[in-house]
Amino acid sequence: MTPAHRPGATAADALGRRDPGLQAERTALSWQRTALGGCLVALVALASAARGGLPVVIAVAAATCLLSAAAALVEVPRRVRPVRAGQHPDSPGSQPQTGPATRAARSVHVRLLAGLAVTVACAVSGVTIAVSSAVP
Amino acid sequence: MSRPTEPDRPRPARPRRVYGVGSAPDPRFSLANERTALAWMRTALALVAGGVGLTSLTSLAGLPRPLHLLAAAACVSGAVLAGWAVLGWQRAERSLRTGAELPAPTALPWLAAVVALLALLLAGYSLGTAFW
Repeated sequence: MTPAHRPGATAADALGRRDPGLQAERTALSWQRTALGGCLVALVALASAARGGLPVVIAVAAATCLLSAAAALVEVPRRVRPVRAGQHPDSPGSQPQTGPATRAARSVHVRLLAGLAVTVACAVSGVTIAVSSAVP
Repeated sequence: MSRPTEPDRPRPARPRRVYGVGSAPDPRFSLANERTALAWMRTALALVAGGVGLTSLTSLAGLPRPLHLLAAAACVSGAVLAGWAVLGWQRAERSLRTGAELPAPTALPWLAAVVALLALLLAGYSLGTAFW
């Protein structure tokens, strides 16, 4: 069975050693943009809360910044490093025991849930600011 | 394109209702699905950022209090859309694994309606400020 037809085959070995579509790199950059977006929203909330107090919002915003930075720090090198070395992170050879459920597939959902948590945390602090401002 | 089942496969990754069905698709499709979900997530973050920015501006500039409600609505829409992004990723990944037709982007018309509503309300406020 050729690597291209094997369950769990990677973008890299589906098209030879390297994926000319740069799927892994694009996905890494997508995570980076999303993390930056999370930091941006947290900073907007922070700037708003700094004036009026609201320590809860400040704490949530700081935690959101940290979570976004952690997502970028974990995800971007994980996607890019092995590709640069000529080996994909999800290569069946590097993770033989995981089979079709590659490590990337295993963790995407967890990271999406982290993104969801960041967004909801930002939304909650935004609503808190809005409600506390609307109700004197 | 045949999708052979794997009788000797190890236990599937979580969530089981995604990775427990079908077989692993072309990883490029999985990565594209992941990027699509992240793009939805950024859209949700943009809604939240707009809401937080609006409520800050309303406070700082002493604008009318109902604008805070608009800001809260934008924040809540962002939170809902973020959850929708995760659900949409699950549905698309299931379809990729089973070879079924991809689900329609049902969030898109709702997002358009929410953005249009927020924009119209803000436009109404702007016009009201300009002429009255």
